[in-house]
Amino acid sequence: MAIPLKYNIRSLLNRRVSTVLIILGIALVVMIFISMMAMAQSMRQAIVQTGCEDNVIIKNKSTSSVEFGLLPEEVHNIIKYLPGIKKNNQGIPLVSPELYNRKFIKFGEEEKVIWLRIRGITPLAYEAYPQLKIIAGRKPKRGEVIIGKELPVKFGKEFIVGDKIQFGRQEHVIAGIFESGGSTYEGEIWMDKEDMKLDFDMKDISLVTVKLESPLLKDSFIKEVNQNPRLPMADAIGEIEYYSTLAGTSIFVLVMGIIIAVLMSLGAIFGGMNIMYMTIAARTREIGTLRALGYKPFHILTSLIIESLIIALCGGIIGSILSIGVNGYSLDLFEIAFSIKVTPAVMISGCIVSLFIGFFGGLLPGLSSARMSIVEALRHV
Amino acid sequence: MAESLVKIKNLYKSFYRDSIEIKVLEDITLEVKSGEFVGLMGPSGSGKTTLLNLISAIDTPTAGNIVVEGVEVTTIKEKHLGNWRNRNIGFIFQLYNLIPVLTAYENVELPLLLTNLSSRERKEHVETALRIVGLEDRIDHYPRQLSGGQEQRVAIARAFVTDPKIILADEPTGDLDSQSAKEILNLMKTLNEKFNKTLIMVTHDPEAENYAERRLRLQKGKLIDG
Repeated sequence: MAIPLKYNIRSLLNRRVSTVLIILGIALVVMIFISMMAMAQSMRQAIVQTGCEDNVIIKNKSTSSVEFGLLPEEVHNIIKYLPGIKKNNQGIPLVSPELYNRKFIKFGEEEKVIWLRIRGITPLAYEAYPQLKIIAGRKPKRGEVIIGKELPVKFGKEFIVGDKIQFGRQEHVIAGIFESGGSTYEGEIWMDKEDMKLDFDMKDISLVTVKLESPLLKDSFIKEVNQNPRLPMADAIGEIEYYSTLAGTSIFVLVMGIIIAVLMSLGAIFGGMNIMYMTIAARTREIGTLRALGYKPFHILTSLIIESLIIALCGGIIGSILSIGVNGYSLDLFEIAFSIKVTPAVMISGCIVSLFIGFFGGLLPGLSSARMSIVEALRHV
Repeated sequence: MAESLVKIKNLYKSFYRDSIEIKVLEDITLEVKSGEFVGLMGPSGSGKTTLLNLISAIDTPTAGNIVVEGVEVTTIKEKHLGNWRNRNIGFIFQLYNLIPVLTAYENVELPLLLTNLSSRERKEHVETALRIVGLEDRIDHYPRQLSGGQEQRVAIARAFVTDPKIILADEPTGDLDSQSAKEILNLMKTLNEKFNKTLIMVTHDPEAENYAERRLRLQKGKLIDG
């Protein structure tokens, strides 16, 4: 690299205003890119983390989601006698019949519309979902609920044990708050199954969650359920596999994020290109002089691209740092509650995006200056 | 007898502007001997700067030959031209053409960055060049911190730091007051007499032409005195 780097750096400092403006523009693009990628990644992780290797969900085979299909309650009584199911200390098979529903409520003075995800369970559920940890209060009794720690995001307010939430036919006292390793359950309300049936006038159940003795038994258990003539409506699927299919919604977020980032990057590239063309116009005679001294077109091109990359990388680093501001921010998107995690890998990818912007923003102006006629350049005032 | 450093034979140069042919140089034949100080005068538009551009291979002739130190300049491949210019030609421009964000030292060092000299060797060359032009105490000054005459002296140092055989000066005193102009011309004379540099200087200044040992006149693209 024959043209010294200090030439580029000092030239950038010489035109501080335009340099700062383009850096901030790129920083904004990178910040948005990183935020979108982090959001998609965190959402995907929340979904994928929702599931145990040794859990199987049995739902209605006519639907892909437990939300829309129902199973008769007696299914539970057939399933609990199937082989391979883990038993608790009392010898009771860990088979958890559950209701699952979404209801919207109006909350607060502004009557904000909130979609609640509610799960009706039996005490066996706490053993079927060992990742669930109560971080405040206790397990709910009849008439009470326990809420996931991400639920307050929907309401925009914090809840404490003893607070009440109105949904269904009555107010429900919050007996406890739980966390479950960042899974999507953290955005749900759990209550007694029978209370939920009364509240929402439901007769049947939505699903049965079964904990197996070993993950190795999963395939054979699923086959047993799906081929069982006494369970014609039932469809068994591994819990992890079930939630993985829901992860498709995160792809939507990812694609949207990429489209937005690409469009903004194009804007940044054209903006950067414009600035570089203006730079070259102001330094035409300098470029002519360098060529006259013996510097080759390649030296000029490289120097200008490096200058563009320096601007872009500064923007990338600033954007990455700014994106830390969304780290830990809780969201409830597509009915999945999660906290955004801005990882070093995503930040690095943001910086790489900034380098792309810098490279393409400097390429055409660099080529144009490299091909400049020396005679014309030296005449430039 | 000094040998010819520059041999120009039947040189023509035309430009095209909006499909109209503009003849800038017509049938120029000229020899410049090694160590000569040549003054090239003529009215504006007579082709003086174009002739310098052709000798330095910044531009290409429409027809004719230019041989510099035994090398036919028009046959040098594009990718080698930069190196050839760097080694053989020094430039002094009317407006100095210093890089504003580089110090005097860094400006003078620029041509040396294309050579294989080590950092220490480059430092020696640069400091020597700046000492010769009398600016050893301005090494870290930027062009904006120098007077016009001082800037031109830095430009002169840059022109000869690679020890080229030929130095081409295009109106080197055009932007200077008479006192500074005299200093520059004296410096150029020193380069010629003490360091045996061949100088070809384009000028309008009658005072400046007196420093040249040989004067050539261009008129409407033709050499009147050769």
